[in-house]
Amino acid sequence: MNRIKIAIVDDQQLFRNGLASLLSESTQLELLYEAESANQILDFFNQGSQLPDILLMDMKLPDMNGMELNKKLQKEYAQVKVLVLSMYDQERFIYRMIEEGACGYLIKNCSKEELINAIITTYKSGFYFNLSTMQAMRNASKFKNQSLHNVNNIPVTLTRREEEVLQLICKELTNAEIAERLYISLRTVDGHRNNLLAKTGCKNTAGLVIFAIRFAIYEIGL
Amino acid sequence: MQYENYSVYLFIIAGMLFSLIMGVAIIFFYIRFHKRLSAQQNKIMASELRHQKELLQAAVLSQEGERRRIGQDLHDDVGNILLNLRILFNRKQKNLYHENVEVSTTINTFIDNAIEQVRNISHRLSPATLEYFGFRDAMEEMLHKAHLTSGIRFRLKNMESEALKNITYDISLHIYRVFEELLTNTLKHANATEIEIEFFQNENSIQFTYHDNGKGFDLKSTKGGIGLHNINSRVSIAGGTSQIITSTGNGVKFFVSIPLTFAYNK
Repeated sequence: MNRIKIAIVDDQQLFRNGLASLLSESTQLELLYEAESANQILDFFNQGSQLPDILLMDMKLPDMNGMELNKKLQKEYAQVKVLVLSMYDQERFIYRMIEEGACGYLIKNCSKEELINAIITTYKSGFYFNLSTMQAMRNASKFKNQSLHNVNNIPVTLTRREEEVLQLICKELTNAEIAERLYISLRTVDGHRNNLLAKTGCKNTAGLVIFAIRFAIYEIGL
Repeated sequence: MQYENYSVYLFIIAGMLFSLIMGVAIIFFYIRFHKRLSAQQNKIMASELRHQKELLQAAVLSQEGERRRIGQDLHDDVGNILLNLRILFNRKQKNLYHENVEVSTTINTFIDNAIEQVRNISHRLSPATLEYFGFRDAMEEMLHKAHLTSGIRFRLKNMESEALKNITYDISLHIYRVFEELLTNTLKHANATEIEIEFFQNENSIQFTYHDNGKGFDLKSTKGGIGLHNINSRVSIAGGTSQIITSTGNGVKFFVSIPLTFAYNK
């Protein structure tokens, strides 16, 4: 397996250093470059540096905040998967960033094992949602149901097969694993996945998972 | 003789006319003097009022600025030191002898607690959600927390309005603090089960209404005096006007209006 290419954007040098030496301990990961501001990382990307598979992004940056940087990345570099690594642990932060297309949200005091696991899972399945992410999303959709202005009807109808595929995506299965599980070809799974993205208007796999949770296609076991 | 009489009459008439003119003149000057005096007094009063308002504004703004600074320093500096401490400690942990593992777990718990506390305090000092995601998310978060602790239900109406997304940070912070105050009062005293907050906009102003279905209070009583005072100062600094309607047993209705020029910093 190719080494997973990683970039970091965080304004605290001490933290970046710690992170870099932590990543270097794993043979599966490769740190391409690190940046201390949003504009610096955008410069890297714009100047045609090799794009990372995963960007570890802090929310608090000196020039624009993580929310704004993520918006820019979604527009121009959607293939880079954003993993938020932040001090902010409020559910609203987690939920909103996932909604905005981040592939995972980790609190900075997570363990080294979880960080590595999150990177590998995101690389493999397109998202990493831990317990607190799931909880944040469940509470947010509960909130949406609770406040009366929002009526949550599923805006589109999915076929049974599409729902099945979606449920397996939520269980962090890769396309190949889904194909094997459902006895269908890889190409068919790809087709279902693309249909799901098109039908739901989601940007990526993480978006599909939120969609599944919000409309109770996938129940979170807590 | 007749001639003499005539001139006496003339004298008398002239005298009367003169004193009439004098009288009118005196009254005229008196009124003018009085007007000028009261105008001056009004001016002094207005400037005093303005001065007071400016003082208040400066006080609240510097308080907000200070809060934000302390909150951010806590979050960034102290928080990061603790984080680095934790990372360093975790990396060295594996070199510890067996009997020290228990101690190191305890130390880890302490560090985690400290990080948690720092985060809570800094969020109370400066609402990060407002800064990162804007007014609607901050309001939803505030109400959601209230819902989780007290079970109170709420409706937000028209909060997804585009007009709301563009109000300045300062104005949204003032309005946020006003609602924080209202919510605190509702939770503490009102015994309400539902809160409704609605947003409106017309060509001149943005407006919010806040309505709880609790027991209300007597506006004349001093209860909640400081809270109401805080609300009034916030609204006045935001350049707006507000009104609170309540009486014992009838819930609380609050209305605030901010001119567009203030809300959007035109």
